[in-house]
Amino acid sequence: MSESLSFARSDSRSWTALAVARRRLEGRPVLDLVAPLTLLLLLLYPVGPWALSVFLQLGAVAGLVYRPLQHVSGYWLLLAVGMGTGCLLLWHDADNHKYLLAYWCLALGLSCGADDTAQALRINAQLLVGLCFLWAVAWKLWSPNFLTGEFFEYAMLTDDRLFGLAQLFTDLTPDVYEHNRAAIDRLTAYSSTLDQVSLNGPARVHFLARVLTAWTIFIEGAVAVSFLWPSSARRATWARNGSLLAFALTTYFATPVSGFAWVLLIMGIAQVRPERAPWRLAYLGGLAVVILYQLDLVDLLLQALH
Amino acid sequence: MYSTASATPTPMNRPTPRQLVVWFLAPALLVGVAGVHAYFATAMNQTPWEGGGFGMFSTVDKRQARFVRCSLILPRDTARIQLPGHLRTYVQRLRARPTSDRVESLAQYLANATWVAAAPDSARKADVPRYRYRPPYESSIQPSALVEAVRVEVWRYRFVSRPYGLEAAPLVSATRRPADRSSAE
Repeated sequence: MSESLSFARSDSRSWTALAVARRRLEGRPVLDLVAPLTLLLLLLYPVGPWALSVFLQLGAVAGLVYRPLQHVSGYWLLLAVGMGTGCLLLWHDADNHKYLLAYWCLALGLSCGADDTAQALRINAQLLVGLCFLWAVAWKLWSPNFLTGEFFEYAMLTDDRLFGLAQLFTDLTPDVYEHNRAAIDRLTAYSSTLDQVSLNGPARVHFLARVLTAWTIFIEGAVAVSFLWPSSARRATWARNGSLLAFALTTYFATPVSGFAWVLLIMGIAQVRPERAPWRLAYLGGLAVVILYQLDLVDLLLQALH
Repeated sequence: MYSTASATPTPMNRPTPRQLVVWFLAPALLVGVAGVHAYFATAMNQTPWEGGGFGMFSTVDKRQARFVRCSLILPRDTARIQLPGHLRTYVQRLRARPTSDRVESLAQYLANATWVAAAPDSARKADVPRYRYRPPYESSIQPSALVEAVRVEVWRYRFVSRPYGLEAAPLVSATRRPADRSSAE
């Protein structure tokens, strides 16, 4: 009896904590929430040659230390120019989320100078996420080897970011993976005269690749449609936030590309209307889970299983 | 239209030009850059992964699936060479978007460069090239190789799933003679 009472008490305490967190999020301007998160991301993942990277990191530190800077339009525009220049200089190497972060800094700069900052941020965030996913889905539909499942087969057999997942669900072993990597090295060596090499892998990789292909098209398509659908109805909000969170929690479990996850979730927070504040809490929770993914949970799971 | 109902009221409730810039400049830039990238990818073989077009994780054809093979064409035979380290960024760009201009420029640069025999014992090892690039600042009494031409090829591999394997084919190539030889002829 006393045990169940103490359980109920701790349960009610956690509900109270959640309600307090919710009230604080509702009362706080969205810029105060997304600006420090964006600067933290910029600090961790700058872009460009080292001098530009250092400039961006110092800029991010300045904004984190002296918070009024986070409300200055010119500050964000300067960071956007820096990020854009970095992407331009290193276009052959810059990941796509660096571009997205540059657009987001531009959006922050423009929104800070707007009459209604929160509304401007909401529109920008919704469109940027929707368009980014629209392009991503278009490329996947256009690619000759995505819908066939070949891309994921190749990635699981040769890419260390997906190898762990393949190991978890198929009989793929580290030896086979090493063999495949060595085959690629033989083919691409400067002195190679080969024009083909064979790779090894269990047949179940094919099945898993088909599942991943179907899921990716479904979830990315859902994010694109729900974010570009101009509605603020309850169902549309659920579809939008649910699909983005489902995308982040599933995709980044398998492939911990934390920079992309961060920028998407920050924009997710920005597009939530104040009256739907619990979604902001959900996005913050999602962000915490994605950070947890950096511990390489797949590897820990594999170690526990074997 | 993206729930702009709470915006500051304006005549006819239409957004002002300033509001349009604030709301749509960043998304328009995203579409513009991704459009340019799509053009480069279809017309100039740029990889869908790099360049801000959001084509990552859609295809095997990323920069790492492209590789460069270079050969010195000598009077008696040909010899594969390793690219000098200072060309790293150039070669990365070449792999990401292998245009004819870039390949020809690289071939011409390598043809004009000085190549000398590598250390004598290294020639026996399979993974060490027979010739190495000699930078202009290096003083050496080693005679330079008599290079008739340099051939540069950018290859790309594709994945085949039954049975699992990779098949490579040249994407673009160029052969260039050293500048002093071409002008003498």
